[in-house]
Order: sequence, then C-alpha cells, then structure tokens
Amino acid sequence: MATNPSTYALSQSSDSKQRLQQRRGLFQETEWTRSDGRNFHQCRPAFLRTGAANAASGSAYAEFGATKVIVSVFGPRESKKAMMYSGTGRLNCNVSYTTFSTPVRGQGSDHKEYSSLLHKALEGAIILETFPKTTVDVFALVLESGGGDLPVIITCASLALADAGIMMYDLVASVSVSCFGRNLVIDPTSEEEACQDGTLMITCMPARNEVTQLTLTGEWTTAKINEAMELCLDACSKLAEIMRSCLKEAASGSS
Amino acid sequence: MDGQSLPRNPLAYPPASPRRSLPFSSSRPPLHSSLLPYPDEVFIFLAPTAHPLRCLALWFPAAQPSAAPTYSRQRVAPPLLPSGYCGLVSSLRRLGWRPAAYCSSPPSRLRISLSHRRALVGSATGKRMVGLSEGEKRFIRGGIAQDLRTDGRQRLHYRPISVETGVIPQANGSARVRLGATDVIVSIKAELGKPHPLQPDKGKVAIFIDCSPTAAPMFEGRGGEELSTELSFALQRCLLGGRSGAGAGIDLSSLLIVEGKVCWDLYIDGLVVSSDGNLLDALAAAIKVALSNAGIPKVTVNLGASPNGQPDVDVSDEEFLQFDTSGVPVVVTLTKVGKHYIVDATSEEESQMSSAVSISVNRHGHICGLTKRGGAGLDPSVILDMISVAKHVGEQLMSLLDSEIAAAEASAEDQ
Repeated sequence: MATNPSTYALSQSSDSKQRLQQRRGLFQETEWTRSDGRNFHQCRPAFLRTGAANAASGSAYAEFGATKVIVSVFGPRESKKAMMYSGTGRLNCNVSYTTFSTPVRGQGSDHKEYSSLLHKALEGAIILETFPKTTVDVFALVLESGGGDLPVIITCASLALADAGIMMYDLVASVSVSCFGRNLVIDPTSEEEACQDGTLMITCMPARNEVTQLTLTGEWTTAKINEAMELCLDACSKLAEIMRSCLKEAASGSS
Repeated sequence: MDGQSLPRNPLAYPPASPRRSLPFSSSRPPLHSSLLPYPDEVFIFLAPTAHPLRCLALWFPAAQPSAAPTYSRQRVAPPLLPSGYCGLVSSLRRLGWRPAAYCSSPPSRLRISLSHRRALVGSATGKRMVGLSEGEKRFIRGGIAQDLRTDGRQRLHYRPISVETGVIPQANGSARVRLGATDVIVSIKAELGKPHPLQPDKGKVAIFIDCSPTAAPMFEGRGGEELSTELSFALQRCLLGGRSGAGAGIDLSSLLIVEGKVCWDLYIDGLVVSSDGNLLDALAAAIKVALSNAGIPKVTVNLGASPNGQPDVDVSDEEFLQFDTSGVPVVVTLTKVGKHYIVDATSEEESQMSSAVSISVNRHGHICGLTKRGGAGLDPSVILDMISVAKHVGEQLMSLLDSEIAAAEASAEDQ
C-alpha cells in the first residue's frame, strides 16, 4: 500500500507586500527561496505510518522532509512499585536522539527538555481516568534531525497513542513557525532553524480547538503572535486530516 | 457555582492594602440568608504543632453572620474570641491554625470523632506539600471567581515583593527576591572561556536552577530534578531569545572579549530557598536584579603576546563594568483556576490550576518568550487574551522592580 507522501499547503499565500529589510545572511531579503523549494507558508510533505515496532502496544513512524522519528507506546502497564497510588493513569515520556541523527556525531542522549514538553503536550489530550494505577510509556527516538523535531515527535507520538488504543479526546497535531525579520516561515528545516530570530510552536487538538502546548522564543509583537498562531492552527488542522487518514488506512488494511 | 453563591470569604487575611475592605466590613450590605445556598457553615481548624488542642470546629449560623460562632471546645484563649466573623478566622490563621475542612451544614453535634480528627491531621502533615481539604479547594476556587483571594488580593495583584542585592560576596552579582513566602537567591559568576565555534562573536550564558530539598520535602531526589530542569529551560527560553540572538534579554555579543578566542561565560545559578508558588516569576525577577547588580571585571587584552596565538588577557581587580539590563524581560505567569486566571499564585492556588502560561515581557511591551505549563488545553483566544493581560501586568511589575532595584542599591551603598 505504498502511497505518495501527501503534501499539505496552506490556503493563505505568502504575503508579498512585506518588503522590509531583514537582518541576516541569506534571510536578509524579503523574498528568498527555501532550500527545498517550498514557499514560506507551505509545510514539508508528511509521511506517516502506524505499526513501526512489533513489541510495542502501538507505534508510529513519521517522516517530514529530512526529519525522521519513530515512537513506541507501551502500556497501560502496572506502575512501578515506588510510585504512590494514583487514581488516574500516569504518562511517562522520553525523547532521545540517535548518535547519528545530527551532522556532527552526537552523544545520543536523552533530551530532557523535549521529554518534558512532549509530556505536557500529550497530557491534556489523553483521558488518564481510563487507566488508573497504571502507566503509559511513550518512547520517541529521533533517527534523523532535519528541523522542526519537536512538532514531528509530538505528532508521531499522538499517532502511536491512537495506534495503541489509548483513549484520547482528540489527535494532537503540532506545527512550528520560524520568524525571520518580518517573515514567518512555517515548518522550518534545521538549516533555517539555525539562523531564525524566533520560533513559535503550537500543539493543538483541532477538533476541540484547544491548545495543549505553546512555546515561543525571540521577540514578538502581539500582532505577529496572532498571525503565527492562525497559521499554525490552520496547518495543524490539515495535519490532523492526514493523521486521521493514515489511521483509517491502517485499520482498513488490517481487516 | 457562580460568583453569587460564595458571598463570604472568612478565611481571608487582612487585606494587604488598607484601601480594600474585607467582604464583611460595613461597606458591603450583608446578603440575606435566603441568598445563601447553604444555611450554615462549619470550619474545622487544625492546631499548630505542639498545641494541646488538636482541632477546633467553628460553626457560623448563617442567620447572623456577625454573631459569635459556636466552638467545639471551650479551651480557646479569650483574645481569640470573636471580633466579628472574619476577625476570628484570620486571627486563628495568624496563630498558626490551619483550616482543614469546611462543611456547609452543621453536624448535629459539633464533635469530631477521633478517627476523623486523625484523618485530618494525617492529611495535613502527609507526604504531599499541598494537602487541601475539599472545603479549602472550594474556598480557593470560589474566592478567585469573586476576585478576592484567600490572602485578600485581587486576581491580578502580586504579593509584596522584597529585593536584596549583593547577598553573595563571592559572586559577581547576586540578589535575593522574596515574593510572599517564596524566597529565591540568584548568583551570577563570570568566568573567562572560549566562544562556541559556530558563534565566534558571542559569549555564553548558562542558567541552572536548583530546587533543594531544604525548601520542600517533595524536592528530594527526582522530584526536584524535574522541576529544576523545567524552570531552567523556561528561563532560557524567556531570557536568551531566538537562535540568532534576536530579542535576547542578555546581549551575548557584549560578553565577547576577542572574537573566536576569549569571551565571558556567564553562569546564572538560582537557588529556591523556600517555595510558595510562582517560582518562575520570582527567579526571573531575581535574575534581573542580580544582573543589574553584577560587575564584570574590566579586561585588557594583549594580542599576539604569546606565540601560540592565544591572547594574553589581564583581568582587573578594581575596575568593573556594569551590565546593561534594560533589555532583560520580566516573566508573568498567569495561572488558570476554573474560568479565571490569576497572577502570582501561591502553592495552594497552584494545586488547583488547570494550566498556566508564563509570558516574558520586555520594556517595549514585546513578548520575548512563552511557556505553557500544566496539562489542560486552552482556547487560542484565551491565550491571546492572557498575552495582553500579561503585557499590562508586566509593565507594572517592571517599574516596581526598577524602583526596588534603585532602593536596594541605595541601601547597599549606605552600608
């Protein structure tokens, strides 16, 4: 069932009226072509598959451009003995990078910041009351880091949770935008990320129109935050469509 | 429950400012008892440690809210006795009694069984730091809905903030900030280092936060570690700006000495001495104060003096350069409890939060960083609303901090 990676472009076209000078390098001009030929408001082709690992209760593989992530979900299984009793379920998230995921060979260690952000992003979407006294483990492994890693991890993790049959309010989709001077560039690659002025990442449940995680760095005006949020929310809802169709495809394929 | 159904707030402290009145002062007409959802109210208080009486129940008949309450025991010292409804409760709190339970209907006899008493005492001294009874939870949420919180503040009011500078003599700059019962110390040390090869024109800043178990038992082991990393990353996002350095509170290029060779490494270490909620705001404020207190030694560079190309750097012991802190933002955390959000939540209020958004605002009213904490989702419009509120509150906090910094520096010079 090999299908072509589906692309999702945004309805809004890039605003060509923004012709103010920018600050740095290649991104100094208002108009520049992105290294992969996308326009500013176009996301990378998303390729999603469930059932990437056999031993896990649920797993998913995501490939957004050069970023490749695999997520396995284990559980719900009994919480560790040392844990205190809890009437609701627990969620344990761990994000790690392989040693070969970055151009320079890395340490391949756990990413604490991403682990905690992933936990916060998923916590609000999972109905933890449905599995008291137990723990769900979410292990994400970044095979190749090609920019926008965290949004891809979150998206893939929510797909893996759905594959594992964990009750959720809605699928969680995540998209980030980078800010270059006056321009907003969606779904940045790592090369773009290295010289961005700021970034905004939104994680949301599109059907409920609820934001479960939001981080922002760099200096932003309110109007720009507004614009970026709209852009991200629009992209999230489109990404959720792709996730849904991936799940449907998996369900119809197995029956 | 809407705002009307909780017309009384008897656990409130005396208000911080004399301008605000307590809910039961004469300025507010007393509500008719038929408006109250419950006819009577009973508060159960736990004694401070080593008190012969372990708990005390107070029954307030709804018909006469200002009348003397009935107590479970007679062994209450006379000066405690009623000067009105809130007077008693707040003086009890001041003497260290903890409200433990709240019932809306009076038990037939105001006697608490021994097992119930044990359960109450156990829950208060149990493992979790914030052990709240159902009554207290309802009380906190109800107070927030009415815009009168348990310590007499309004939703968008900070606790009194106190600032001290130069508390650590070994550091280049240091500050201690107290926000109610929250107490943090930040020290700043500058060391000579080498710039990162990818960013040869910039110095380096590292932020570490330590939540020591001396502040709260729950910080022991992994519990403290998790919170420490969360706080460190949130502060890094708020203070260090984007990857290109745009919007950074600390100008990294000002830390450079010789491009690609020598720069200052700035180590910002925060210590949580005592935790009563809103750590992030307190830490960010302390970092801002400590930076303004910091003196970076003046250096003279002798280029090409040594054969291996490493410049010879001479650090002065007497001359110090002040750090420009005008761009350092303040962090405002808005905690959502029920339908409303509050600033500067105490740990009791934080235990009731559904989610919290920490927003850092700089002098120009621009947002320099945003972190969402807490699991529950938020509507995008609520977030935008929060941002505009945070901008407004941040402006006030910024000017308050500025005057506190000036006052602290003046008092440091006097000594």
